[in-house]
Amino acid sequence: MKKIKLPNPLLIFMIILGILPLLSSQHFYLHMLTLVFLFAFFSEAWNLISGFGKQFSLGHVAFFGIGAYVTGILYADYGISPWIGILLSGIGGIVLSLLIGFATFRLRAFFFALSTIACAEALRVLITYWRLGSTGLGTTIPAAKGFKYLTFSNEIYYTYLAYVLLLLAVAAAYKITKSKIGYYLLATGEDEEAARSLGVNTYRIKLIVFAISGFFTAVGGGFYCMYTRYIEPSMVFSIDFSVQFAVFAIVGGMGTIAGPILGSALLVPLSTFFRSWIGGLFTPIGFFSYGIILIVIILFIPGGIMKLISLVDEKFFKKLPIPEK
Amino acid sequence: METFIQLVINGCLNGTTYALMALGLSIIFGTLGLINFAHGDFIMLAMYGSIFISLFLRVDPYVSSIILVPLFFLFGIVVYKGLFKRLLDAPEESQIIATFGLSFVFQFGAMLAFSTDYKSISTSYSAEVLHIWGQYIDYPHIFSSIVALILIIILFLFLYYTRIGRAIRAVSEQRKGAMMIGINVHRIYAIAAGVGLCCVAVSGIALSTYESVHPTIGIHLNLLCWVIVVLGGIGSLIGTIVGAVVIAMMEVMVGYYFETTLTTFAYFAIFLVILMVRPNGIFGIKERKA
Amino acid sequence: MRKRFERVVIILICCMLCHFWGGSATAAPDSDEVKIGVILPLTGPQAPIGREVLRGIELATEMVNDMGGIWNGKNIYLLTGDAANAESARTETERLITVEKVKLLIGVYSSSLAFVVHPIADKYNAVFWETNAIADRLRQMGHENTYFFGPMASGWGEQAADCVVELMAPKLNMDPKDIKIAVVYQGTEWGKSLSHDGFIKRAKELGLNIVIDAPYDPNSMNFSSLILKIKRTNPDIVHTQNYLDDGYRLFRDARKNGLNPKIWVADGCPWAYVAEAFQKFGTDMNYVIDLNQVGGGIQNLSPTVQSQYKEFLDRYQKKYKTTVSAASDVVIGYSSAMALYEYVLPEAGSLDPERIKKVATDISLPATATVRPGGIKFDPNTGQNTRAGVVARQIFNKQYYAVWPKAAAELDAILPIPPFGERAIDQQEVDKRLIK
Repeated sequence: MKKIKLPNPLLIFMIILGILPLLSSQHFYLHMLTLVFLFAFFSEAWNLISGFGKQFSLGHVAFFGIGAYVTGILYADYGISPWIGILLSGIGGIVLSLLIGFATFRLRAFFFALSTIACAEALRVLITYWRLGSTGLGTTIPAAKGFKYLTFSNEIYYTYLAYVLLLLAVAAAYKITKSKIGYYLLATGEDEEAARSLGVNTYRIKLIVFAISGFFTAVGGGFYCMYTRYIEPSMVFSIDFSVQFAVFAIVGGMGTIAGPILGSALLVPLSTFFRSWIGGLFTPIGFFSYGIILIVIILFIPGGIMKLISLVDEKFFKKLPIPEK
Repeated sequence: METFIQLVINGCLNGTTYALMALGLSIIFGTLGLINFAHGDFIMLAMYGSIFISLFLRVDPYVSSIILVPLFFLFGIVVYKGLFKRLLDAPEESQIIATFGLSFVFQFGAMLAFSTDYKSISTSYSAEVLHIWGQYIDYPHIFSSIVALILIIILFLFLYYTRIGRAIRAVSEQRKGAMMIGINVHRIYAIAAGVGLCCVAVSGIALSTYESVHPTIGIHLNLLCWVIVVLGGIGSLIGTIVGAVVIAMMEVMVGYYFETTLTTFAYFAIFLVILMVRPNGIFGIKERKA
Repeated sequence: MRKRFERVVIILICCMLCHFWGGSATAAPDSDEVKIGVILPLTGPQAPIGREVLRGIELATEMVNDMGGIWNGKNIYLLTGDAANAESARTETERLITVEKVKLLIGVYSSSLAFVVHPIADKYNAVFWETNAIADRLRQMGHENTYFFGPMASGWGEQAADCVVELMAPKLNMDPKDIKIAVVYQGTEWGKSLSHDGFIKRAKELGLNIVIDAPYDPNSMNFSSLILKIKRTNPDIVHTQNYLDDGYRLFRDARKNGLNPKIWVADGCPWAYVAEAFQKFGTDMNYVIDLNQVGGGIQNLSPTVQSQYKEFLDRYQKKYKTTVSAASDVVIGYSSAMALYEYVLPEAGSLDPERIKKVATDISLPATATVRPGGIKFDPNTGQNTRAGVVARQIFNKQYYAVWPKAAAELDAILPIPPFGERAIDQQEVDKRLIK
């Protein structure tokens, strides 16, 4: 069973993250931070069901896309404030997660992963079909300025919004791991049959956590839609997103609260760096290296960065006398 | 009625070629229990291999199998020793992400090596169409279907009537038990990976006679193959074929009678429905604890 | 436990700071060079197109630099950003503008990506010189400093419909209203805005008979059922719009299922001039009509533009060891960049958006000034090049011959198109129809 983090370090950690956006007003830095926070948030939401609950989902982009579409369409076509839209997105995410969960939770591990992909893809095709019948396939978000419409001229507002989202997800994850549901979830993840024989309604537990995870992801999708200001089915339902959520959490350390944040903080800037590392026609070299790094991390640091840190701790620092503060 | 027959023919032909693509995956997943998300990219590499060999030696792509199939057998063993072996006992998510990384390496490696151009070959029968009883059947698909059937028969004979084949089946059913009766499991696994990649090589060759290849073609093939293998049931060759034909039929019928934009939806939907009814796939055996 | 977390925090901060320093370190301005950002899809399925456009832009830049650069000997320096998907397009644009301090960008080709990229450029008040991106709604987004050098979807669709009336109907000896047209396009932003919102809308206004309006999923592995569906309607003209992969598959399955319309139109179709298509389909590619935003006779160009274009073709041949097949995406990149370097930047004298805006709205050039059909005249409100036109070209033996509009025509179109398998044609036959 994974160790559960003490409140203090986590709080310090989050406060430091909160200070980061103030360090520089450079736009690109803030944009990078927004992405790091946002993906950490998605990864954290994914980690709830897939990390703690060991239900490996590769279809989280379904929630993401639904969220983006609920917020985007309500705002662009009906003029409903995105704040309300985002909340409705969350509800959409819950409904969808219950549907998907109902259909797929009977399946064993990998079949579950594959069928979540199938759900996301089916949804992509359906939404494409629906949008093809309307005025335009893609939906642009009108550029009305103001807080009410979740449109800011300064990037830092977006950064902090993403930060608040991340904070909420971390708080939820923390709360869940400390609660009865969390223990049931961990038990379910470790050995479902054993948990069931002890009287845990594993199906219900999984559904609840999946719904929470879906809620967060959909809310984030709504935010993403307002951030990018353009959505298209092939864009917001791209499997790449699902894989990214998973990769960040796995590289950081699955089933830990800080893991997804670390993974995202490491890999978002890294992939950006690789993309612009060798420009022009040799761009693939960057992604090539990214693939190799992924394999190396999985092969040699199976538990992710968190595992590495604890290993280093045990090997080198246990023996050293560290002055207590 | 004539159109319906044409649709059925198209569905069967597409189905057998889909099955051909999925066979390698079925073997690797069925034997090693390894989730290989780079399968589509292996096919992509095989297509490039087939095209380059046949252009270089000026032979028919099917003749290039003499070189390509042994090459891919070795490739399979190398990949097994290099990566798959280390992933065998890793959790499923690690397997997925690691092979996903591998797919990145293949995709962007191919982009560097072969550029992003679309490559294809034209054979003497590329444009030939058999026009019979008002039905149109093209030769590249006929040939690839025949090859698929032959390959399936060979595989069946190999798995059931040779020593190594029987060892592969034993290992895939009971790894520990096989170890105990003195089977060198890693050797068998390496061979299975090699055989799997041989199938990939053959499917790449067949595909290259009617598809163009480009570095990102693997992404779609990968998902398609996975859907087929899981739908059919793990470790069942017949299941793979049935799964492929179901998917292809679904695609063709929905595309014609409903909406062309919904074909992909159709096969994911049928996939989900069948899995809800039969969680282990159409021909899947009951879950066994590893 | 606490100790461990401190280390976690340190790693994280290092991570962030590295990036922060890395970001600000490259921001040193270089006064000797004029920096221009290029945003194009360089990896991913659209990469073959993006690469061709990039080559065109690079060669145009090289030529201008070799001729002494602009603004008294300043060289133009290109910085590229990869727009493989929306996410990376956005990030790369942000990077080019805020980190590399680029004030002028050129790209992005695809409409979907343009929806993401243009607002960013607008946010930072950078000029965006759009090479293609045809979706109408892009023009209505109110971006002041975005210029669309290529045609817009509705205009393109209208011209495509006009082409049916003016060129194809007489060739088929039919009343335009009797011609059955099947419209097949990929269900993407690009396909929908051109074929559905442009072509079909106009065709209905003209009273043309659209028998099937069929969008499709471009990721589909085969299109045989779509083809059978089209075949059922027995169309005279099949009007297709697709990218590379789906284009190949559609054409392959049409051949396979014996769909033989009287005219096959490939609208804005990049696959039609990738040398690969000829290798694949051979003489079956003959007679196909390709509607495009580049092409047309170079004999109509002004002498300087003509000699530049010839030099460009030479350079391309030398550098990449293949010929520019009549008019490919290379030419889209080349012509866009050349128009920018020749007509806008020298006059503007700096990269100041206000200066560029003033120059761009003052430009009024005839069709002889650019390799693309039409000429250059920007609408001051939308930034659309109102003169950007479309050319219909027919493909014969790996060559392209402009057949419509009349002003640019090189060849008297040979229609209707024979069935698959009977499309081989002697070059002499084609030469006979050349318009002198």
